Amino acid sequence: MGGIELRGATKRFALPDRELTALDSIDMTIPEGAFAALIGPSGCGKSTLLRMIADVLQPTEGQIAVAGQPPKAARLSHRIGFVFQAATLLPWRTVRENVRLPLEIAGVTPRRSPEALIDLVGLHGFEDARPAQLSGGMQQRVAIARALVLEPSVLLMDEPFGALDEITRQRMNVELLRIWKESGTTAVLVTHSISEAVFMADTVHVLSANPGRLAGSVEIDLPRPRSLGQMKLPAFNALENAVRDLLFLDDRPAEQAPRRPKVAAVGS
Amino acid sequence: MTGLRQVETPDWRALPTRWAEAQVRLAAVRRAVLSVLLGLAILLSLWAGALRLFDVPAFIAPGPAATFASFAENRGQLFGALGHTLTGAGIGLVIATVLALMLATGFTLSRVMSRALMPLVIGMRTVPVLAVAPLLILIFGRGQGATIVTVVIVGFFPIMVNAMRGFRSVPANVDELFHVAGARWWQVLWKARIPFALPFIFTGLRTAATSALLSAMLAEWLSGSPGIGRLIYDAYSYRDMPLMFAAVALSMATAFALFAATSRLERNLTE
Amino acid sequence: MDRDRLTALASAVWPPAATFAALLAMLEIASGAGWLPITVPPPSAVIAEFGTSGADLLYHVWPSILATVAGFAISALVAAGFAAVGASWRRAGGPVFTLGVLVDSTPLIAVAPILVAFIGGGMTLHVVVAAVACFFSILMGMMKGFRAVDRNSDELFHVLAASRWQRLVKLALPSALPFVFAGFKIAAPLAVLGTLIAEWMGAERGVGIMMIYAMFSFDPPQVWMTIVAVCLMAIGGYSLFAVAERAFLGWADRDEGRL
Repeated sequence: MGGIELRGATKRFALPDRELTALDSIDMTIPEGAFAALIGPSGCGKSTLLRMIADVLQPTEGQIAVAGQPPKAARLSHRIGFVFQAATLLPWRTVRENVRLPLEIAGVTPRRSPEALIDLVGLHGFEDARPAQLSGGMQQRVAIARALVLEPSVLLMDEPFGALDEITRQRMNVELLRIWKESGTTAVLVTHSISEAVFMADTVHVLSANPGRLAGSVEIDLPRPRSLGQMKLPAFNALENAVRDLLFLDDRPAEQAPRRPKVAAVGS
Repeated sequence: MTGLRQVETPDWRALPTRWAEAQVRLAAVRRAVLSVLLGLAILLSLWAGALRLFDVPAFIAPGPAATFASFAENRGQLFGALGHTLTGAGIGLVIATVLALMLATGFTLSRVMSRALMPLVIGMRTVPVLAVAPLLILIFGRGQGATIVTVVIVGFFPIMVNAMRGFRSVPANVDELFHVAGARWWQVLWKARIPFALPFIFTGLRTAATSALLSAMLAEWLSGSPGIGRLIYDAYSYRDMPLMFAAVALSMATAFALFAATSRLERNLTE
Repeated sequence: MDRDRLTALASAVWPPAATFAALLAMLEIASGAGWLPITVPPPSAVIAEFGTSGADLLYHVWPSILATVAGFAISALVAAGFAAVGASWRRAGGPVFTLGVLVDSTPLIAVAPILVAFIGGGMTLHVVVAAVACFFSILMGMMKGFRAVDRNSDELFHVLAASRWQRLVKLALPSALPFVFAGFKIAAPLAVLGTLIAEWMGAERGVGIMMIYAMFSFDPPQVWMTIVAVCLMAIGGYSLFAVAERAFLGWADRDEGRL
């Protein structure tokens, strides 16, 4: 009911000189209340996929269902929470007013007060601060509280901690899992960190680029609640390797690589 | 966070050749000329149409034809006056630039000077500097001197403020790099501050150049120095409307050409 | 913390204030010693002039302020219309900008006689020239303001299923205000200048015509006094917007450089 279904979802963009297939017939099922991670190289269309689920972009072909509805209906009934890579807070509003924004737009009274959500994301005492006074990590917490304030069926996150340092990021991930468990929503996290994907998700969906295809999915059967200690376990490393194998699937037979000139570069 | 990713190397054969680049540039020039001609045609027909529509008598506003006839007849006088104005504006602009850059350099080198004077310079932006023109005429008399000083005073502030902004736009890392490399202050100035400031300085120059023409015309009109500003008002007081319109059209065309040329120069140097 | 801010303010203010005071003192001394031409009176004479012809000045300044305010208001309304067209209809953006540049680079002094020919002299002319003088800055501020919404915020409001009205009130207007105010601050002194130039061309009342009379009757203290008055008008207009900005837009960084 509250899950996400994709059937043959395809997205093509018309460029001036040619047509670019960003995503090629993606099939995916994310059960209600599950935590899914989308991982892939730059340009594999993972952000595009997330934006199609959120009805920011429309698929060229195929169907998407969010909580049993088409994405547009789900968006109009305020069942989607979205967290961007940048916190995207309105600088003229305080923390409390930023979290309250979706309530004002939807015109509803919340079952859960914005103040309680601000407590949940650990910002008690900062209700009246302005975004400019907060650190990057704190701003992103506000963004998460804002995404949860309408109690959405699905919470979509596009590299929410991508701009944070590794230490803050791991701390935020542990908290995000706690918040997710408590809110009971279906979560989709776009990331380009293998360990983050394995640490957070029930299922890691690996995308390959040019065109974006689903290279495979890895079930993460690590027990919950997850803790940072688990990252040192061999089982964790084995799962990481499984994801890594799917990611670099088309790199291994280097001799058979297509004749297009390509160089491997270390990306960050 | 570290992972391998595919980077496509560009194919040199796909790069545009000089011939192709020249074609593109030529097409851009052609488009620009066409749009200017089209704009002129629209303007002229609006002008003639409005006169016809509102039945404006010729002693208030002459049509394009009469204006052009007057322009052809008096072109010696018109271009002489324009030359006089542009000479004053040009000399003023050069002095303003030299003064502004010297002071801006001084300000970047001396913190005391910068703290004491910079707020005053910035504060001058809230004041219509051109208002001092009558005073300058009082002080410098009714010759070209007053025109030049007016242009200097009006042109000085935008160049100065933009140059300061440019000198401050040097990233801290670059400063540190020069410091670590043991550079002298003049090396930092020459190799870091000036190159970083150039785009800003040109923005200031463009602003100054467009306002220089206005300032020069205004000063001439107030002082009676024989430039195009004076010519417009003489023609007006003799009710020689075709000549006045011709002078107005010439000064406007000069202003637009000046603006277009300096913007173009700025764009070329900034990109 | 407030105390720290006060000290910071004081240490930023006293060097330029001291320089300014020193400049005035030097002028006073140089004038007393007779080193200056008669056209540069000592500051005390200019201040004394405010005393002797203050009533006269008030009589002339009042219509100038009226013309400036009216011109500014008209310009803001017209610019808002153009900016709205430019913002809502993407293809009109270029022509609107070109129009602004044309108006801005037209030498005011050149078009003024044409305006006189059509609308005559007097108050109407002063208002129109003031409006033309500040039009471009206001237009630029508004056009940049209407484009100030970043893509992420746009997507946020889309995902939140906000209506057009909610987008306008909760996103577009607050985002635009800092740019609009930056434009207003630059435009206020320009409107004063526009009024002044129009009055130079002829007026019965106005600080500009007072200045011209003083110039022709060779009364340096009075010329200086009118210039100080004009500067005060401009600073007043600028400060009005600066104060309003500080009060309502405390969250934004204030920088006219963005225009």
